[in-house]
Amino acid sequence: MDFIESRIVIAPLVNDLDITQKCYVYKAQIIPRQIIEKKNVYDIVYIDPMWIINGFVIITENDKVIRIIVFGHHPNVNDNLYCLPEEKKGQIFNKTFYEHFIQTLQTYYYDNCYYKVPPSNIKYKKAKSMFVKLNQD
Amino acid sequence: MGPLNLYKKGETFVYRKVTVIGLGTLGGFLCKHISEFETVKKLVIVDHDTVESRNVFRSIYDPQHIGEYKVDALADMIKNNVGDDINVTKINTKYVEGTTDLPKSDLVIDCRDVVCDRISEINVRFYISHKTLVIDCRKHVKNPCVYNGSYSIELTKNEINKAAFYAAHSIASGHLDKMIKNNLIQRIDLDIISSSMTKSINESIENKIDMIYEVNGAERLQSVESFIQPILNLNKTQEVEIVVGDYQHKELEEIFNSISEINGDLRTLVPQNSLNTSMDVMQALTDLVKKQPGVSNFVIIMREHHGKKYIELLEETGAA
Repeated sequence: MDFIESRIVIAPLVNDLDITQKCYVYKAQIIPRQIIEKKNVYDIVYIDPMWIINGFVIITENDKVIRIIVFGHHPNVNDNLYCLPEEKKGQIFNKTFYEHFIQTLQTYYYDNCYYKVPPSNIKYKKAKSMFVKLNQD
Repeated sequence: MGPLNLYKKGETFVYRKVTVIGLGTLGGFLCKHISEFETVKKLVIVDHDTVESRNVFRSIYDPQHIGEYKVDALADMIKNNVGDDINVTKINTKYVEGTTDLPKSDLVIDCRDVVCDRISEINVRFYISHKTLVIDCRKHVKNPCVYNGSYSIELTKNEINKAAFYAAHSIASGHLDKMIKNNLIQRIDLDIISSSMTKSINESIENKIDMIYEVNGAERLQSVESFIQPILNLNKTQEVEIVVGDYQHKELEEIFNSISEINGDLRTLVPQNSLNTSMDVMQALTDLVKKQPGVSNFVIIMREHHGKKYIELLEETGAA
């Protein structure tokens, strides 16, 4: 389990602003834990090992997350790129973001996904949960 | 009048035949509500009075009923409302207990605006006093016969209808049956629902909770209490930990403290016995959620890790 930070400084742009691009490489396995579908939570009780995530790379520009590359198969990942929701793009990368993203990768969002895990690869059961919708203001 | 002949369906007593004495403002609306009960098949209405112009502003009657006997006007209105689902018997006479013959009923209600002695024939007297509905189930009550004629404070038609609704609700819910058996007198604040709504809405605005529901085929409101009660029970025996993210990643904090200057606030520990109501729980949850960047909606899950129960907040994202 390790985390590596690398830094690339891109040449000055026309407006004289530097863009500092950083890559945070996470090298550890992430095992999917749950599925959210229609605001219900299902706990995964079995999943084929081929669905275990082997790490990810968070790419930031001036400390803001611009894309995340995931090493492994995931219903919300296409061409190794995690589909970041709009509210997540441009967020500052810090521990909170990391923790959230770990949880995000452990969760399959089936309401909006590229594909679903074949039934032969996964078993899950419904968890007792309550969905809370907050005002958006 | 014989003893109460109650039809018992499960745990709830159901009245099949109801008599209402006094068809003024409260009695008129109450009869309308009772006539809409599926279980009431016969309604006996008793009043000797006619509809006057001063009655129509706050009562169920319309100006077209002025001059008609109240029993006739009300019977027509009930028939227009529910058709032949209910059999209405009209008694156009002044009721005097012990003198006036009433058909045998499961429930005899007094809604007159006069205070009279009550022996045992009347099961309940409903009246309004100082913006409260009074449900008086006492028997053998001695009162000097005093004509009231109007309420001591000005009430709107809506408020009287609301009082009638509460009275009808007490009948339908089975509360009245318990009160009759125990000869109780009870007051119900007419503003109880609006006070409760105001409190609830203010709490929701404060906590920015829009709605809470689960989806099971179709969206519907969820019983918050049923989910939150286990959390309240848990807090009685131990402090409750609320976490965002995987509990098992707690040990990774040190790694991230070394690479990140900003420490997120992903956990909170609620001391034992500090959660007393569901709003306390929602407050604790939303306090933590508000500290999370970009989180709007979330799912609450009760988890257990190595025998220790905790609450997990799972963020809802719109991932593709």
